[in-house]
Amino acid sequence: MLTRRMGLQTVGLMRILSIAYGQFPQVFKLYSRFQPGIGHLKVILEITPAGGFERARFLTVFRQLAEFFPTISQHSCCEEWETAPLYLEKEDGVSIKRVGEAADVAHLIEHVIVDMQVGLGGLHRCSGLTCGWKDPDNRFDLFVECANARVGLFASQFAVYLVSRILTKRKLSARNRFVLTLAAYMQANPSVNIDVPGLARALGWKKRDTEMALSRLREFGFFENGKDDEVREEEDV
Amino acid sequence: MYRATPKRHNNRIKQLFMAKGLTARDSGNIADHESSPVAGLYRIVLNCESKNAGAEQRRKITVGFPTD
Repeated sequence: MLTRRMGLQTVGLMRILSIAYGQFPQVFKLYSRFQPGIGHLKVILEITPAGGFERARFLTVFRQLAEFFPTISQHSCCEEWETAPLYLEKEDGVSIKRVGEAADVAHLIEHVIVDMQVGLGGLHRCSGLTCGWKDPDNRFDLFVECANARVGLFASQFAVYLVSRILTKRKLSARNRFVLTLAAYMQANPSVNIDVPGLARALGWKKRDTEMALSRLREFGFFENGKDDEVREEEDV
Repeated sequence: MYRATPKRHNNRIKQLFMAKGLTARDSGNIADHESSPVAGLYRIVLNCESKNAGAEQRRKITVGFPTD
């Protein structure tokens, strides 16, 4: 089994090969409702093994994610196919498709990234694509609209971390909420000093919890330097 | 006569993260982003949409069409 290494290259069953940010015009051929002018994240992810994601296991992941990100339960599908909620209470499950493959897990990760883009990234609407490779069949390209590359980098790595933790540990620690809450606080207060005592006071947390959350934010790239407006149009000269 | 000049994307892809030991070629020819979605590369595409307008939160997902 793969194990976690530095920089979240490999987390449990997941391996992030790369994360890029820019304009990918050809993705409009796969989904016409992407908003023009907004950049996309491209996350290349491998899930090992490709199989073994039966419905019960999938639901374990989905239910815990729905607790952590309640708006996921409001998802619905499907344009051009049928309209139905993502979560069907009467079936106690999901309707998006017949689940049971790694693509469903990659798709959930994409949803978490989308959710965080809306919650943290300043987007009112966010669309994403999960594209499963033919070969290797455990590799996925996730394209997600993104207005802030730094937030996108964080959201991608944190989403993979959360899903991987559920798959390997079966239970998501409530302490992860500190990470998300601190990210939201830092986004809302961009000029705040990044010091543990001050943040602990402001949030009413123990220093230990604040330290942990801050450490995770650093690990997941939340403080990576870089301009957020890396992608823009220029006229021909 | 005025004729609109088409704009061209200044497509600067910013590499935010690359796993150690990998090259762009290893991870799906990252340098060639624009061609990948139409190269018959994918066996399945799942897409979704999130909308957050004020108090209303709506999510929409479009799922599952083969790319062959």
